[in-house]
Amino acid sequence: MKRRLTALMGIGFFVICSPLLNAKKEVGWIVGGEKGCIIERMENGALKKLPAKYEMILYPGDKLVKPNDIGSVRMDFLPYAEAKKKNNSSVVIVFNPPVDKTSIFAKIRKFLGLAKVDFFDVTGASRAIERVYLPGENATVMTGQRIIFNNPYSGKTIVFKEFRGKEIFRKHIGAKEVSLTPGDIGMESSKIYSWEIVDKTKVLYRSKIKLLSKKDEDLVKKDLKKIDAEKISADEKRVKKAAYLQLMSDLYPREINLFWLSYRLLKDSNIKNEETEEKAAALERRAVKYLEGGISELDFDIFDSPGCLVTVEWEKNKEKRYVSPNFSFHEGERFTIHFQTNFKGYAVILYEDRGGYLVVFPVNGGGCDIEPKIDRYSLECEFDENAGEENFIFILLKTPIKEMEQPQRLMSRAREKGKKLTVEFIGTKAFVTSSQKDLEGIAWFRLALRNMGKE
Amino acid sequence: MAEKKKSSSVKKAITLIGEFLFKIMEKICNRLTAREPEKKKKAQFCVNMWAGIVVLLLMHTAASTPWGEGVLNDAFDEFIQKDAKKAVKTIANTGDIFLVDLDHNKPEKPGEEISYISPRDTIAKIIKMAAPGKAEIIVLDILLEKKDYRSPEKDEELHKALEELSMDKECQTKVIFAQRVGKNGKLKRNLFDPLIEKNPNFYRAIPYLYATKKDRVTRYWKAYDVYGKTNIIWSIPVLTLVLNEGRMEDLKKREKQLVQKKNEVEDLVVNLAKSKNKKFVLPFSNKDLFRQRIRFSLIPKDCIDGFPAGNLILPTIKDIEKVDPRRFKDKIVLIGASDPEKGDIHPTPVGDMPGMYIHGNAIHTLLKGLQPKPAPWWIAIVLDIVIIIAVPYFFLRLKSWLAKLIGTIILSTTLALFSYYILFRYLGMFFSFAFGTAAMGYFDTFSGIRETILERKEKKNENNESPHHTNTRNTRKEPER
Repeated sequence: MKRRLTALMGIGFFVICSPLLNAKKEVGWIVGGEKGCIIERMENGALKKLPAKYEMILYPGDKLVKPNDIGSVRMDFLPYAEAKKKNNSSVVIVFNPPVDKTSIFAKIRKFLGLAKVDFFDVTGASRAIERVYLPGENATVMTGQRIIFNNPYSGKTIVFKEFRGKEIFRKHIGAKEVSLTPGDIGMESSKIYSWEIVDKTKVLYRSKIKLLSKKDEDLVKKDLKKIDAEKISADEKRVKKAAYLQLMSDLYPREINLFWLSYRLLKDSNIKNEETEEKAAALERRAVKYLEGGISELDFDIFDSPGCLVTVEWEKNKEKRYVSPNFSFHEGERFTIHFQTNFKGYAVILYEDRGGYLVVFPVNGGGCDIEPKIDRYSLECEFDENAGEENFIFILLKTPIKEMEQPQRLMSRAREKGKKLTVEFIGTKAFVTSSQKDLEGIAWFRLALRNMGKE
Repeated sequence: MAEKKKSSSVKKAITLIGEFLFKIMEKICNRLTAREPEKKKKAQFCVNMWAGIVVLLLMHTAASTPWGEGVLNDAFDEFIQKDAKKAVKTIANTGDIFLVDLDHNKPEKPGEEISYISPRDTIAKIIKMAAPGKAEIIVLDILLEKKDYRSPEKDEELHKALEELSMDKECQTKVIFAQRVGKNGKLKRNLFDPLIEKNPNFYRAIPYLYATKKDRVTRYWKAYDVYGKTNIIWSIPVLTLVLNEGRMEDLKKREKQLVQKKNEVEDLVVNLAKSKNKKFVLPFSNKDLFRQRIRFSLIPKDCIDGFPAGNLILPTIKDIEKVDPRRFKDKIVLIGASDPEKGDIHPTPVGDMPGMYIHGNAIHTLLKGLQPKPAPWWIAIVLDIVIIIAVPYFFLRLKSWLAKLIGTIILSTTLALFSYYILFRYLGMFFSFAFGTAAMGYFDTFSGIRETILERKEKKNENNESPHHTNTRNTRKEPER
């Protein structure tokens, strides 16, 4: 009885372990040139011949055959795996991980804690570099990717909503950053979402984010894989990928914005080669500039009607950056208002001064006609020590403005007969949308910049 | 014949020592008289005592293994934590150290916008105040390897401030730049390398600390590192102390000896000018479990549970320009950043702490002559003897396991209190009583083994002495035919 039981246990153990013992390790996959290629593989003791397919998994021992053209087959491998060339028509997949040379005695000593004492170095210093807020505005992301959200406010909770729709995800984060995937949030392809940092009901920061369409995502991932398969150093791969992501973002500004991912690849990279380091530095500078904010093509995605975007470039002690129009300014700080529209028409900006109005745009007798998506700059101003609100009135029309020399009259017309538009703040921009009908008449909105006086 | 005489005299000596010590213990503890036969008691005591000696010797031998270090650290950490918890209850006297935390006074209220003052131009401002204020040393616990692409003009400002300092021939303020050694053994780039090369008052130092591999807790300062195979770069705490004491020449001599890899290099001993009768010892092993230990008395906020504010009063960065420059006179100005998002927070025996404060505590430990040292050999022997004698005697006298447990606790506690209050707090020395305490756990095991051996011997003797005993192998009964 005992013997039978032992035998059964032995067989059972063998049966359980044999899949583990015999399990094949996936070591690579085909990424191109597979047409006309055959894979010879041993399966359950029999030789099988399979036609090669794109992204087909490769195992150690597989033989790839493509008459006189095996070099055209492209493969990606895990570490320690490679394709060993037999001849011009075939390669064999080999996997040679390094052998653990530690002797059994050393292992026992280590286990018992009797090996020599050793320490490891801890770097007790930081970089003191200005933080870049990720993922920036209008970021696009890919499925399964970890996205870091940090922000310039010490907020409490991050909330995701369908743009102008319902809430889909929220998480308490305290003052720290948080890392989430699109799956965690519940995002769907090609849909635009807003993400907010809130403290109870108060919205401290808001920006937009989009999950790439499947087509765009597949394209980007495929190209990144190609870069990974190239026979260049890890540093060069990193820089090449960063450059590729920026290029795609530049070529397709409405669909793709992966500057944040490019920045993450380059940040904290310790590149040894000087030439590669210079390229990395240039790309990082470019990514940071883009992540600063300001108006971009993707902003206009959300408009299904005529609208206007306004952002403010703040300057202090030679330091410049884009800030939200509801930022708190102080004495001595300079600013430049940038605005863009997605419609062709006419615009005037008035500055409210002690009950009266001054025309600040157009400047120096220039025309007030505007073209879509062309920056127009207002007068550069500097805040003084008087705390209060600096009010700028934007007036938009589809027809020429008659009262250019009479701003008071223009303002009266806007108040009496025009439509007052609602200003919505997202990231570093103010969004204002109107309608064709309103613009046939006169539409206007007020932008109030808060001057806190002395700091 | 002569050999036999020799071994029997050794045995006699061992027995005599055991009997003598037993008599002493009996006299001291005459209340605990047991009822066992005298001879058996003495024998058991002798065995326990010699077993104790062997166990203690083994433990001390294993002291420099990860196991031994773990035992040492548990006890050492307890002492360090006690010190820190006492220190955190009062405002810290930082002495000559002036800490500047670039992330101090971050907005506490939600919704408050974070100041846009960029760190590197703030560093420039501090240098422009500290140097004319006649600071002794400025330590930049900041890695200046990468440019700040968000604010490149701030790097310019810092460069300008350092350049001006370089050109000021009257200024004697020394500046220490944190610089790492790469995995390839080469020194990593610093944005201000050309300035450092030019100015004899500019120094490089590694910002590395040591953590125990087992639990990854940062406990020690590192003395130096080697780059380019033949160059020594000292650590921030060591270089700061040596510059402060004006002993740079001695350090340079030691550099040569290290590079030549002389095994018999003496420890560098510096008598501290400001802490009377105290000294700094630089161990050249670079892995001294005692002397390289950091004692934590400068506690930042959110480090120790129950004391979220810490015990440091720091200048507010927003108002740094309002600080009177005279406050910097003769001070060691340590500039760093404590924001957790900068990734420079490390576990220490007292809690998670930013790197700049660990360096601050390391410098404070050395400046004040608070380096722990191992207890002198004779103290260690005396205490070990007490353990070797007292414990076997207790295990002999105390019969029940509960009595033994209580006895062990009382003895361990007494040892621990003596080690902490007398040896550590007053004399700055650490006695690894932990090994003795650990050894106590094995006495019972040895007693158990001995008893098992004795029981088997007795059984065997009984079997041999029994009149009906027969050899069963030879008495197999033949089956009847």
